[in-house]
Amino acid sequence: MNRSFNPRNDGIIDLASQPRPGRRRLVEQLFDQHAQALRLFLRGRSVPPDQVEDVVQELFTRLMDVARLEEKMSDTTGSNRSYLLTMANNHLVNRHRKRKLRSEYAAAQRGNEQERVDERTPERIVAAQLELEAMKAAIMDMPLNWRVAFILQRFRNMSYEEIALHMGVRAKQVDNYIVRAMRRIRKTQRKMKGEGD
Amino acid sequence: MLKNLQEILNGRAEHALHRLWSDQLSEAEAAAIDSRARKDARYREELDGSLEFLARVEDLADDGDIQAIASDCRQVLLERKSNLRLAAGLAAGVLVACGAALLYFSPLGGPDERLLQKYVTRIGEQKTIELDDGSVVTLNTNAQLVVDYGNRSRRILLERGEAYFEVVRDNERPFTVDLGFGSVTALGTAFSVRKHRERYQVAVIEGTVALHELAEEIPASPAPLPTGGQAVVIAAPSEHLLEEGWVAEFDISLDELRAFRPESMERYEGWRGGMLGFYREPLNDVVQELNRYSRKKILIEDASVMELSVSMVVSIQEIESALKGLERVLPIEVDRRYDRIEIGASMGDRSRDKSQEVGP
Repeated sequence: MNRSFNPRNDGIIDLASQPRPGRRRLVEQLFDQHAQALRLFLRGRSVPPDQVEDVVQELFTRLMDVARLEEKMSDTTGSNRSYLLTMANNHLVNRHRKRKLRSEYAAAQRGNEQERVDERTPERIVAAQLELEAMKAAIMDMPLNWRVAFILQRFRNMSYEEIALHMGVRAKQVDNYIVRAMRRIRKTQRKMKGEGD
Repeated sequence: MLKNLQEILNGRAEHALHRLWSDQLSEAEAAAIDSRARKDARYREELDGSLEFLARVEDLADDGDIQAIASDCRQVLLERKSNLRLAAGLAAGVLVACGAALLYFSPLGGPDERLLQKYVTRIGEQKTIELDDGSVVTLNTNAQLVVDYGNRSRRILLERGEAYFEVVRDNERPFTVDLGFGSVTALGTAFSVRKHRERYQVAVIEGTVALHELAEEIPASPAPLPTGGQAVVIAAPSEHLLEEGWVAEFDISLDELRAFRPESMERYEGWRGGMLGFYREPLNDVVQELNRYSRKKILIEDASVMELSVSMVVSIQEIESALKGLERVLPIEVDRRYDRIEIGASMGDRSRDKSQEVGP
């Protein structure tokens, strides 16, 4: 895959042209270690094969601008990978959201309606805030072992094995805790959505 | 590997989510997830939904409270690691109490100052702890629990081993023990909880406790309270009251809760004094029980002696001498090695005049 021939890469700044050699070295190192994992992840997330490399590039370019990246990446390999996958996931979700909004907007235009579809209407902001609050409450209310496992995985990017070591249980059990924690939070989220609509 | 592929092709989206984050995701799996998501709209929806949900959760990353817990958890991890190292260097019998005192704040409302306190016992050690509210916890050998007292709840997480709780009643703050499968809430009570591999055992010595099932999506059955002396099998109830004199056993792998009424509660509370009583129990069971209390494990080398009936009282400090006594009354031979104790069938029945039987 030759990047320079890809027109979609026009807007992407080449890593080599970036200042801050220290950061650049870190990002390059991360690329060497985790690009393959990211490619597989993106494939699994149904990114078309011919776009995978672009997304990977974009993600690594973004890493150049992440605040306190050195601090975040000072952990073990597993955590770094997990951080990158989370970043990739967020990127895809945002992309998906934007597309959806665009098509909603287009549909609204076609229907000649005055309704403006914008992500940042006050109603949407409030709804999103309420949803977050509810999710947080769900996390805080769940049993201690679920909470700890879930938080360490999501917000500290620790691997199941690391969490298992921490909690004195087997990795399978950690998996169990996290699955249950996620189900609980999703249930809250669905309930909120159900009430909101 | 093949199993994962099959799971992707036929299983739930949850599994794919797990694999996507795994460091062992293969190319074939990635392609399989992609292809199933394209074909199966519901699957795709489910997968998209959970990934969107994860991205949403990420928005909480900057939340102060979540941050506080995350870094405190981290703190515990670091402490635990150094404590493990420390413990390895200590002589046996020295207690390891890592009182990781952690402060964090509660979700909603005003600051709810919580103190996470961790207690640990080594193999062969027992420990009694008086908690802030006057409740008393006794930890049996090789146990570990975390005390999480807040303004509105008193929670205990039993991570390992066995513990006996004497709870001071406080209607404002229920006392709950979290277990892998659910939790036990005390209703002014004394009870013991034991975590044993995939099994949890809850024995009520005094009063009543309520068992809560945590598994969601299971329809709440009318939870009959067992009567009579027989074991009752209850398929995953949502809540279940357990009365004095009853023992409930939950098997995680079978997902089955079973309640029964033992002849005596001795087994569930007697250990607190450091003495273990056995009455007509198979040698194999007795040995397994004794092995909980000693680093030097007892192995039964000869299957023919496993079922021998044993009645005795043993001090957990003097397991070896108890075996000597057993050797006199049962047709067994006890072989003491530097790292283990082996029990075999005795060769020449009554002709045992071994020199090592000369007592101290």
